[in-house]
Amino acid sequence: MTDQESPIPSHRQVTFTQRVLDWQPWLETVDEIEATPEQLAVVDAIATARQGRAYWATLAHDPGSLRARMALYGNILSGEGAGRGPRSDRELAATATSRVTSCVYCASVHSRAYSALVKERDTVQRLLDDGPGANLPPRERAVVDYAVKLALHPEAIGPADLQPLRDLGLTDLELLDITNAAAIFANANRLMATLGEARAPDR
Amino acid sequence: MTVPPSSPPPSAAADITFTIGGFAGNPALEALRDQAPDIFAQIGGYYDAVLSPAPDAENGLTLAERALVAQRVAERIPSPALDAWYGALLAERGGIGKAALDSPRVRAMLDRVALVNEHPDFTTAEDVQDLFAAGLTHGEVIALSQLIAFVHYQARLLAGLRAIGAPR
Repeated sequence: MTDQESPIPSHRQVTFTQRVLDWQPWLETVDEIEATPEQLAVVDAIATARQGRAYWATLAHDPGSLRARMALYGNILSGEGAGRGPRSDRELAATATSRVTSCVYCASVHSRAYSALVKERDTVQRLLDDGPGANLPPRERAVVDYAVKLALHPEAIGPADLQPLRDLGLTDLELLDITNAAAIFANANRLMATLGEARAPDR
Repeated sequence: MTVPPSSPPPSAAADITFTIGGFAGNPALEALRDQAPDIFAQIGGYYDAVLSPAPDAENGLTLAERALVAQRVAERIPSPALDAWYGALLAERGGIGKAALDSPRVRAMLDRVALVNEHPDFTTAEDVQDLFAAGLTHGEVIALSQLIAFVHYQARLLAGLRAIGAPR
């Protein structure tokens, strides 16, 4: 991959993949320009549990919003209270949103997480390769269709967009989980793809 | 569309989603909030962190600038309910005068809103440098980025909740 000397941002040159990618920030992280104790504390708390320290150390320039966002983000993706939907639905919605908003890094992390949860990697690979029109089983089809419309045309969403999921037996709380996962990736994609770029790791 | 109250409360917390969405009294959504109060509280926490941070956490962006940016993001998505809400919040915070609107600082912030809205995957390292060139600090660049990203989250959350709570 020749990402030097190209006028096109290099994250556009990395194809969608389940492989582990690196993320290179476009501004100095708090690790590089003298973090405050508050900034360091918030980065350390997040980076012990999650990969990609450079990303958290970039967002830590505003520690209050990072801390508040991570509480919500963690609950959306991983919360397991009574009645919460399967985490695989949430990871799939995150991947679908990232695929259509073109955040290659986000798509790699969450397609990998989805494959680990369902112990099968071909389904989400089709989504990465072929986009939202990929051939998918019924539940995955319904999750992806809803997430993609929410990403691209949020104001056009109506009850009919939920009907395929309701027909599969999903509850309102499960629909909220998928809504939140899709919505927080409209957010995550706009942070990751505008503050740095995905790169294939050095081999 | 629900018309939001003309005077948003200064601090949001757990009720902000219901207040902006006009969801109070909707049985399906009230039941949903009872099932997942933690999530709605965390949404309120994120709202406060980007729209109404404590004075020691403002990180350079003024409260009026925050309301202006949020309103412009909502306008572009478009999210009429959020556009009206943040327009009212901006007015409550005294608005932004013409001189400030034309300043390199505010123009750079609003250019960033347009770029991130329409072409998040086309942005470059040079686009971040444009913000520094307009005088924004690292803290302000990240506070701005989080604010823009938050409104994108919130617009989709509200759209989804409206559909979930629609009469069946």
